[in-house]
Amino acid sequence: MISFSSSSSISRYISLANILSNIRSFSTLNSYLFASELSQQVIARQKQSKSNKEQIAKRKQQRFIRRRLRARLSPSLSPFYMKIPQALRFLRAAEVGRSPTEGTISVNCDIVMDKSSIPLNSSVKLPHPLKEINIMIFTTKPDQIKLCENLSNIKYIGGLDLIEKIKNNQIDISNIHKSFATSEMATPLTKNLAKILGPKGLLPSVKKNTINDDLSTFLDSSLSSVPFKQKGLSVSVAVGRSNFSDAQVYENVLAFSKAVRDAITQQKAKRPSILAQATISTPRGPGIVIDF
Amino acid sequence: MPGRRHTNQIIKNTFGLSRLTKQLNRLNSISNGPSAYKIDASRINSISLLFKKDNIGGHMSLRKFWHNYLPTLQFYNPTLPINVTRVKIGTKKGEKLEKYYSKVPCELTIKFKKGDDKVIDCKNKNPATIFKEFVETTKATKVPQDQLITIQHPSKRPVY
Repeated sequence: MISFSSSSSISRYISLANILSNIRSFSTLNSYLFASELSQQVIARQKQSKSNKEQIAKRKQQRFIRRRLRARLSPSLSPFYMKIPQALRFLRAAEVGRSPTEGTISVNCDIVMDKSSIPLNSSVKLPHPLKEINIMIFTTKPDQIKLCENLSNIKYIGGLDLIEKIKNNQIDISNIHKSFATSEMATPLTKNLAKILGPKGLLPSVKKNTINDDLSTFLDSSLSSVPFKQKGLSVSVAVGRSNFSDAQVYENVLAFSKAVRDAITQQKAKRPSILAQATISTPRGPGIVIDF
Repeated sequence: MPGRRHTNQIIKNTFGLSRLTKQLNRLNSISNGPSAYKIDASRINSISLLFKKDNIGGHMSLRKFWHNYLPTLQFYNPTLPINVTRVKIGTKKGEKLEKYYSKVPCELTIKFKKGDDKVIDCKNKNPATIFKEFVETTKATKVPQDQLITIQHPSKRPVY
């Protein structure tokens, strides 16, 4: 046992060392006991975890079945269900005082699918696009010029004349978003306009897939088509702005629903995935369930 | 210092509510707010607010008015154009912001169809008093309770 002696400094020193050694031994014993207890707990936990994993897998399956059943019900059963004009009235009120570019109306649709199936990835062609795209085309072929004449989105068409005009700053390129070219124009474009169009990202090249002899494939994909991709268990697309009319938003929603249904039919999966409830919302507005 | 019961109440009001009730409160705050009034479209053209982005200098009143009163007004007057412009002050080196506070107005302008514009000065005012003055100048009428749109809590939730 520990004993204190007040007679000499040496004995005091020895007693202190005794105390320290005692504490050390006590701590080692305690730690050993603690370790043994821990090991027992770990074994118990491992036994539990096997049963837990089974339970978690069961719960996941039950949740999946519940989601599947819920998706098949009509959206009118939801407490937040509204028809599109009524929902837009709420959303426009929430976005009061903001500019129409700030208040984009978007539709978010949940999708119930198996683990093995590939997530959706395709594009929509909206009848009322949010942003008008201006296009510039470099060709000398008369067939391609005939294709592009009727379209309103194309600002400039031409061959070597157009290149010279851009070189001499006779044309404004600030409004143009995309540019395409046929294969003959590739070398004169890179020689003359690489420094002007290159930094703006408007120089057509083979690497970007913007040079092709058939321009019709480009025009179909670029004009008012919006790509959408599945993130997690939902798909969302911007359908309108706060200054759009009810009919314009309604037609865009219809186009989006058609595109999603087409994408599901083309999806590679064992079981076909199901569309669950769709919500319409703005950045500052509430989410409202609609027919989709 | 607030007591434990009081703090619990605050937590319950902010976080403890279910998702359903939170969403219902959000929707009802738009459709059934304090400013459920109708304005004569034949008399009034538009409404516009002008104030600073910072709260300092009594400009908080119009920001709160915009946030709490305008959504319900827009809901019952969907064709009425409401414009909000917020001014951001930039200063040179060595200058103080306080120099420009007096120059930026904090006002609500009502444009009538006859051509007369009425301006309400809103500096250092309560948003409720601003709305009182607004109702007096526009002669807006309160929406009767039969026409108010309220989304009620579903007594029997659908069985999923």
